[in-house]
Amino acid sequence: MLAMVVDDSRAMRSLLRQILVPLGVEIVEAAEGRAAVDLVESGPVPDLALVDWHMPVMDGLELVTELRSHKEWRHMAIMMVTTESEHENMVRALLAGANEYLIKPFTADAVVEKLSLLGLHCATVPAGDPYGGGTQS
Amino acid sequence: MTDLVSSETIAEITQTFWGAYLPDAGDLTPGSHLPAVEDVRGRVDIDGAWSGCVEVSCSIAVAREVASVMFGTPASDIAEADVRDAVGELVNVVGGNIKSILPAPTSLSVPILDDASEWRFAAELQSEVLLAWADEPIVVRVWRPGAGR
Repeated sequence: MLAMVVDDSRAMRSLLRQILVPLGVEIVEAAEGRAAVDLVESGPVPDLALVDWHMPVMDGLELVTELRSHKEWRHMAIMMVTTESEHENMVRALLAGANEYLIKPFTADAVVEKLSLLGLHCATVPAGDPYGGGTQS
Repeated sequence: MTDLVSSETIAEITQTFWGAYLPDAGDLTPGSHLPAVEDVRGRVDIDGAWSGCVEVSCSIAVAREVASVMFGTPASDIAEADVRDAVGELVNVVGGNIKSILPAPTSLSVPILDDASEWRFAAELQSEVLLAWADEPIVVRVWRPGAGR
């Protein structure tokens, strides 16, 4: 599985990488929405996009809207990963095409549970190793 | 503001960050006995039905520990840019979760790190929570625009 992590925080991208890579997920990263669109256009199209909301240049809601405007990318699951928890905004993101919503701060278990809800099953996180024992690559 | 978000709630929100991202680092404790060493400082602005900002500051030791865990790198190998980035995310998560219990709708800025502090002269301190991790200080403040702003 290929996942695209879109967040303006390198620390957050690294944290998600530490959770996902030990699960057998390949990662590509973008620091904001416009760069993420460029990444998808250059291919390959990710199976999953994990998208922060508050980013410079193109924010997460704009990115979801843009990604969903391309029919050829429809198979990509989109999960918002954000501190934005106003109900109205969560609904906006879901209506724009996000499939799941994960509020920061999150645990590794919460990420795995959301992946399962999306039908994206991965290897189990080793017990007692909340971030999967991954190292920065 | 004090009625909207209590000091206890601010402490709980900050602890939630610690519990989720630094599960092996131990809990935060009250830190009012510590000098407020503020080597690294960042804030997020909130605008809308409630306007103001949330500021988080901490010692360099705390900042390095947060960055070390988030980057999966020994603290000794952490660069200054990594420290700033990690503290930015700490500010983003704490500020974003405080925003979630304020009157809606509001918008949240991206984190602003190491900015000049002139804005403080026109701001009114609403709440200040002093916490500690391993005897190192973390300070969370909530500010509202003052009469002159």
